[in-house]
Amino acid sequence: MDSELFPATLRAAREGSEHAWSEIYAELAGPLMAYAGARGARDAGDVVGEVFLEIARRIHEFEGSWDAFRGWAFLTASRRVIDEHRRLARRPETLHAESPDSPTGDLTVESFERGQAAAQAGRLLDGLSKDQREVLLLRIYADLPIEEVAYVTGRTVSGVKALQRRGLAALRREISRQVVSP
Amino acid sequence: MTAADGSEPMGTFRRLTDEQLDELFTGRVPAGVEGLDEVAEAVRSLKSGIARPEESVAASHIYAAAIAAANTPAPTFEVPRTVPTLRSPISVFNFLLSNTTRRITAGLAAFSLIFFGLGAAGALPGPIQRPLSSVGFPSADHDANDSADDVAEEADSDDLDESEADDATEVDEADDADDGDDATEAHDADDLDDDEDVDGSDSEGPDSDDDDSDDNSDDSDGDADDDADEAAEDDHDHDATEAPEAGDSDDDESARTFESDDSSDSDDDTAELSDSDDSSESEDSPETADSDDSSDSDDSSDSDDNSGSGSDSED
Repeated sequence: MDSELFPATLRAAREGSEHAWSEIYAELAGPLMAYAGARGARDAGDVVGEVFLEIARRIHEFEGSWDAFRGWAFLTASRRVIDEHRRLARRPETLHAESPDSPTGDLTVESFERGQAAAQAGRLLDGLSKDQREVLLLRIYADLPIEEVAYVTGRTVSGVKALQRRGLAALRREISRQVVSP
Repeated sequence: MTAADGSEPMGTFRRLTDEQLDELFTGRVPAGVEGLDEVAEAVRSLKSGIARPEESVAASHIYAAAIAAANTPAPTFEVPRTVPTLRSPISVFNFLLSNTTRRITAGLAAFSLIFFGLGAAGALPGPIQRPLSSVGFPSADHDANDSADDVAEEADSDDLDESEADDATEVDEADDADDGDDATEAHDADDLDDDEDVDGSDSEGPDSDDDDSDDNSDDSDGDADDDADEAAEDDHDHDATEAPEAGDSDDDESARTFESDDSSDSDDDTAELSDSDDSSESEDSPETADSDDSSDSDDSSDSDDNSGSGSDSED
């Protein structure tokens, strides 16, 4: 979404315009779903729905840019994932055979290959620390700038930069390891 | 330098600028940097895994968000915490029972009790009591009558009753004189004959010849003997300055001594008799004359009205 068009979209969204919400949803739903899935959410789609519902209820309180709005949305998603983890920790449930985080839509060869590549890349992130993985997920899925990542993670900008560099180096090591030992 | 050869992977990223890092996270290899193709490809692979939820799920999410935003009231201003909110009935009741409110209410109640109590008793000052009299409280004038002025008024009323009673009797006498009935004069003369102060009557003798009976007492002071003069002055001064009291028969009798002299010396003129009575008893002879002249005068009517009081004075 163009940052210059965002204020008008935000006003329309406050008034309940479905068109405005469709534009915001088109920009954020996929990254949110991928982020929630990479964070271990059982039903990333439900997390997306909860995030949008909460954003809609509090959209009158928001003032800021498109980057800030995306940071707010991912922060909400992060908290929802954490809440889900806590809830599952108290009351463990049986896992479904089918992964809810699997991409939806028509299953084609192209999409299957894309999904397999994403899953393989996702496994590369398993070798990173939790903080490094979170920073890289926000940088890759949400395409957030350093400042917004620092806002979502509650860290300083320099701290996010350090985590970012270490995470990239760890990713590179994981790629080399898999190349050496496929 | 790659991770495979075990060189410094961390140093590569340390040399990257923020813009180059931003470009790397978009899935492109920054310009002028080598050895990051695998990382850029991994980023692209991760980004390729981004997929939207199903259309039906997406539609429900969008609809729910739009409805929630439309139903959420938009705050038009920042609500500060210091803004007074609507008090609940319990809060209002507690406020009424607070110490300050109770003190103020008790003070007002005490003031009201004192104020209206004094107002009911009529003890408030006139300017304050007067408006209260319009709503049923005793008036300020009534208060004055009820208070210390009652004694003075009683004294004045006694004087007025006596004087007016005398006027009434004189009017009656004058009427009788007009009718030519000398019985009253004879009765007065008989009464006066019984007076002890006969010398006084004798001393008044030469003056009784004067036509001006009003100056009779003054003339008597200059012409009478010392003893008679003293006696006359005693009686005359007493009578002239003070109205005769009902119970003081001696004064009345001594005063009527002059009447007897006047009446005996001037038998033909009842008006002079009445005037002499007035001069001796310090009674209003002009009123008597007026009552003779016109029956519509106020004095005569007053005398009629005060006939009852006149009887009181006689008593």
